[in-house]
Amino acid sequence: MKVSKREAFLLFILAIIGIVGMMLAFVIFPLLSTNSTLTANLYDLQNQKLIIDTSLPNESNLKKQLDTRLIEVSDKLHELEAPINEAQFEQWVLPLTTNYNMRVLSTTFTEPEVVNPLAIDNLPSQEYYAIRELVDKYKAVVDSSEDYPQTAALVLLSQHTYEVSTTYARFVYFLDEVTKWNTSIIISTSTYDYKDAIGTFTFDLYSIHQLLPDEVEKDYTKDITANGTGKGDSNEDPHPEGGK
Amino acid sequence: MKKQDMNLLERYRSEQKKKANTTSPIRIYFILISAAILILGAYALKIVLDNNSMNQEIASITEYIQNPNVVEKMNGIKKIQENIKTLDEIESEVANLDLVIDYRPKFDSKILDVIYYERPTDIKFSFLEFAENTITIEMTGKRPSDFSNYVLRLQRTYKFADVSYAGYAYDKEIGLYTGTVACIMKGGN
Repeated sequence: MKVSKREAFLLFILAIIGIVGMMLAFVIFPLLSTNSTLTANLYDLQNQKLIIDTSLPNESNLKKQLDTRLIEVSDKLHELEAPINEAQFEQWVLPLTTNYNMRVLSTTFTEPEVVNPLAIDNLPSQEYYAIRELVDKYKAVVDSSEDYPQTAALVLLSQHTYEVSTTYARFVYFLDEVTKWNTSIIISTSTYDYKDAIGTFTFDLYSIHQLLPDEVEKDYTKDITANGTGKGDSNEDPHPEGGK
Repeated sequence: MKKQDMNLLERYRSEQKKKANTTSPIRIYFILISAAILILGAYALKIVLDNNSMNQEIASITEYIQNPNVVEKMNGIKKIQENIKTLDEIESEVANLDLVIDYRPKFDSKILDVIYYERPTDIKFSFLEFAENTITIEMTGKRPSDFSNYVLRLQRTYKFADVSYAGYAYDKEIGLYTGTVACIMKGGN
């Protein structure tokens, strides 16, 4: 069969398209696809290797950093007491009531609940109206009523209330002793009846779980003996500072 | 016109030579196709070699990464990093917590001294209550002016956020005025 020049050229074009197309489709593109997958894998692995190579020499530094941070954060946590039960709490209070010869009349203890502590429970009421707002604006009065620390943290709060028979002077001494504890145990509610010489103290015990044990752990293993008659010394001055 | 040169053999040979020197299109096409196959083949070969090289490198790095010693050390480091992150979270969670607790008003002799020493001579306390950072004092006085004097004295100390009273009444039985003063404590004392 005789093939003309034109037909030969067409056959050549067909052949070249077919061969190039087939090679691209079945050889080059699959190889390129594998290549890009391998490149991505290699890149990932090289990154992992880089992380390993930079991390391994830093292991000792990281350990030191962890130890330092642990102590720092633990110290922060120690600013609040670790959770204690009511029997353990009694070992804080009863020695004091005994020391001041208070007669414990009754107690109530609550189970811990999760709360968001507030710095201030009660603020003076402020009445705002248009003219006052304008006057405040003219005088550039800054509202400082919200100017106190706030936190979003949740902590445990248990409340323990003691009703005691005692003198006013010893009631005041007791309050000061509790303030000296300098812990997250504070007196949130208290009353004193001058006529019947009866005082009440409600302790708010804010506590959080600790990372490390406290350096000075309170010893709860010993039995204590609590007693008191409620009497005081008539010479005791509840306000010895003389108001100065 | 009569041709002088009648030797056709020479002319035939010359034409054949010319023809022989001219490459046929089929050959050119064949060469082009072969060239295309060669170029693509060479390119494919290069990719294959690249892939092999990468496979070897991947195998080498994988072996290093999966080495039990390295894995163990990296797990240890990962745990340390997680712990540091957890400590950071704890620290951020407890931020301000101690400030808030410390800021809560302390009911102690310092504030009771102020209440005690600012009172007019004739004021006698009968009941004292501290709740929600407010000290409420039930008291008796000889004169109706005792309450306002006392409240103004307490206000002048600037120890309280607010000092107020809601009136007083004369008690015929004891012959004294009775009233209640409320002092809202400031925090941070």
